Amino acid sequence: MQYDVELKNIKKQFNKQDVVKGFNLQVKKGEFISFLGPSGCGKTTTLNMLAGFLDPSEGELFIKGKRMNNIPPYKRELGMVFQTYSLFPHMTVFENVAYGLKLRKKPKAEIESRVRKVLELVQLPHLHDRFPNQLSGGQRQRIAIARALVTEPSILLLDEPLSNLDAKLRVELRDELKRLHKQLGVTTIFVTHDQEEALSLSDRIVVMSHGNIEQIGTPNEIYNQPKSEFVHTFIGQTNQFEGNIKSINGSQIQILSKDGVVFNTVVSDSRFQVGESVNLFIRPESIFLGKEHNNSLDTACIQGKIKLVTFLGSITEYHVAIGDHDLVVRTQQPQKEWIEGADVLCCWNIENQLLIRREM
Amino acid sequence: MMKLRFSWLGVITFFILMFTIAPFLVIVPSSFTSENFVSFPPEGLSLKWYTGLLDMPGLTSAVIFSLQLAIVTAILSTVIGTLAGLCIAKYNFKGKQTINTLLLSPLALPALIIGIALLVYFTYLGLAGSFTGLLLAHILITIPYVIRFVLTGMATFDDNLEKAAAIMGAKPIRIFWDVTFPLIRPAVISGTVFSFLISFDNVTISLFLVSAENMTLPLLIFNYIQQNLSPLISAVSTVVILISLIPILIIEKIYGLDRLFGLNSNSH
Repeated sequence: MQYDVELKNIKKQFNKQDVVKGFNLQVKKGEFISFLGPSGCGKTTTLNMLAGFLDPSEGELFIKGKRMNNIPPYKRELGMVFQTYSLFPHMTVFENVAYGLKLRKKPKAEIESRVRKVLELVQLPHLHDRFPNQLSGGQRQRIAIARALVTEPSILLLDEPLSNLDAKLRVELRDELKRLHKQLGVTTIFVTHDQEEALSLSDRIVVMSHGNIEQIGTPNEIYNQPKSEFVHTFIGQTNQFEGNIKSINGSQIQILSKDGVVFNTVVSDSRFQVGESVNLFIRPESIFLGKEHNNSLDTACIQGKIKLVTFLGSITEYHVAIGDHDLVVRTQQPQKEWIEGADVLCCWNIENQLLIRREM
Repeated sequence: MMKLRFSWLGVITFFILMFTIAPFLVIVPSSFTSENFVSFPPEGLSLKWYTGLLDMPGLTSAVIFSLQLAIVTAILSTVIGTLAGLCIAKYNFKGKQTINTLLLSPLALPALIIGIALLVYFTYLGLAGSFTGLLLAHILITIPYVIRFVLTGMATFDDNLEKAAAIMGAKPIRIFWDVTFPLIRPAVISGTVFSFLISFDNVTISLFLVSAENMTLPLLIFNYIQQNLSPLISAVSTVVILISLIPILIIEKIYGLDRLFGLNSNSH
């Protein structure tokens, strides 16, 4: 199978510092992929290697099956949108959008009709003769998107395109990107540090930190089944238990938490030993409250007392005291009997928990 | 209180401006005198000193020589200075700061020292008193201005513009002419104008490097007034002022001086 983008063990070093440490990814045609991570995680460096502005120190890079190492950016047939908009300030909107077509020596009539079409696509058909400094931030970024799309690139690269916009415009343009992707089906790589953008737009998300890929998965997998402590804490909110393994019985594990509470859970593998220090992570949304254990093997439960109830509109948040520890639980279906002071059982599907050895 | 401070500011401004233009106010009118000595206010009105210019020995050839020197200096300084400035602004390399400092050092060294050093050096090379020698010297002292202007022009330059052009399919040379150069053009032209003006009225360094055959206009004037201070010099000076104004006026016409010197940031 031929992928639109394939990165094989890509590494990048600056001044002997590893910035990207072995990046492997295959992108199918039409996929919308996000690189998500805090600044300095290597996401922009990876994008720049895809664009051809940087050469990988190691590894191979393929676009549409063609090896791209050492191929300059102007031969890669890509489209790119930058955080800084980066429209040519001395050219009109028309000239900006037409630039890529002019370089390809397209006939004048074709250039005009294609520019008109793409400006309609981004819903700004009337701005031809304006200069970039006469446009608002949102308009500029739409023109920049039009400019990137007009050459019908094989891959569209988006480098934090929404980060310079105010909150309302950001959401508006985010929906616009989603619509354009649906309409055109162009394979897209989107770099962002904003989890909401990544979760709402992507077919798959690559979560990165310190030059490593932490997890690759659909937004649903990334959110509900985080595979590492970093993914758990970087995206959304999470509850953390510190504790020791008290006993192991097959896949059943008994954990003694730091503040003296004992509970059982189940793991799918047997990497653990009795006495080991572990961390358990579970998201507030993944916990459901109840009265009694349903005894199914894939559910873990822990007894607690409701300390605080906060009504937040569509959801209700409970703080449940477990020993000295507060467990945050969020639900869309609050029950009348869950009041402050009530005893409840907090349960979760073990699929949604992350149990890892604690580094000492 | 505010009003008083503003009027003081006005007074100070007035005197500073007067001080700046006073030489013009003396020189230009005094060139129209009908007397045989420089006087202010001028007595009588006459154009005889202007017709006398044609008879002044060596004047025509000095004007042509200085114009040639200033034009070639401006062109070469602009090309070299722009390339050097772009390199310093865009790339990180070992010894970058040293090169930057060395290229700007003619601004810091006393012109007299440069003149003497070049005289010694050029005599050794056989360039003293030649057009090439003067040209090299003038390029040396004008390049720092071009570099400074280009560095200032590049300070607000968004590198992503070049990346955007590259990703759209533009090769490096194309990117330079389509994107980079149009955006630093005002800075480059400022450098050209400054180079022309500095070369055209330089005395200190040329002093060591001119010869009887290769005489610049400022030095011709300089030599002339050591012997006699006739209104002829006022007439020559007025012509020099006019020549110096030409490039400035052309630029004002094409670009507007405020834009050229970065007083107005709208750049198209």
